Amino acid sequence: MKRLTLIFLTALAAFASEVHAEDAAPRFVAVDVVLISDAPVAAWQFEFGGSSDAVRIVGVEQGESKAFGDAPYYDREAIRLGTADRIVVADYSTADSSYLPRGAVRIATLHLMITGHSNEAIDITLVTAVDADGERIEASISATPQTGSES
Amino acid sequence: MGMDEENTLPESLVEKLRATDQDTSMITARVDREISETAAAQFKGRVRRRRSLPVWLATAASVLLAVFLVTNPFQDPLPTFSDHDGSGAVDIADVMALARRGDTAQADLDAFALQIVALGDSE
Repeated sequence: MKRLTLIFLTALAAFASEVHAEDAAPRFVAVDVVLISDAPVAAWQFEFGGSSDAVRIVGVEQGESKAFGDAPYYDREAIRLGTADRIVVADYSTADSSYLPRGAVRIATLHLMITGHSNEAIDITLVTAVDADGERIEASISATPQTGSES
Repeated sequence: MGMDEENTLPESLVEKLRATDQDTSMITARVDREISETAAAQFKGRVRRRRSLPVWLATAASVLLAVFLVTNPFQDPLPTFSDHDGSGAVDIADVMALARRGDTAQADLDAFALQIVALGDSE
C-alpha cells in the first residue's frame, strides 16, 4: 500500500516571499490540510514541516468532519513555545463507518508564521490512514494555503 | 395404609405430649434483672473479644484490598507505547484499536495519543 504522499509546498514560501518581498516582518498564513480517500477514514496521522528556520507552526485548528469532533492530537507545548518547525498531527474516531468522512476532507488547518524570504520546501507526509476496522487505506494528503489568509 | 392413618399419632403419644406442654413459669422482674446482670457479667469478657476480632479482620481485609487494587494481577495493564494493531508501527491506529476495544479509559487513550504526536525536541 502506498502510505506516503509528499507534496512540496514551495508554492507557499514563494507566495509569501513574492507578496512581501521587501517586508521582513513575520507573516501568518493558514494552510488547509486535506485528506483524500475513497474509503471512510477512521484515523489519520500526518507530519508537516521542514528544516526551514523561516517557518514556525503557531496553531492547529480542527477539520470539518463532525466524526472528529474535538481538536486533533498534536504537541501543544511545542506550539505554545513557538519553536516548532515541524509537527505531528493525528486523530481518530470511534463513530460508525457511515458517519466517517470520505472523499476530499479538510482534516486540519495549520497556522504558520513565516519570517524572512525563504523559498525552502516544506513537506507534508501522510503517516497513516485507516478505516473503522483498522485496515490501512489508500489515501493522499495535501496542504494548501488559504486564499487571502496571509496577514 | 391411608394418608389419614399415616398422619394420626397414637393416642398414648398424644397424651405424653400434652403432659409436657405446660405453661411457662412466670419470671418476675427481679429475677429477670438478676439473670440479665449475671449474664452480662459472665459474657463481658467474651463480648470484648468478639468486638476486637472484627476490627482486626477489617484492618487486615483493608490492607489486603489496597494491595490487591494496586497490584491487581487480573487487571489489564495500562496502554503502553506499543504496536497494538500489529501493523509494525506505533501510530494513531493503535490508539484507535484500543479505543474501539472499549476497555481503556479515555484519559489513557489521550495520553497514548499525545505520546505519539510528541515531538520530543520542543524545548
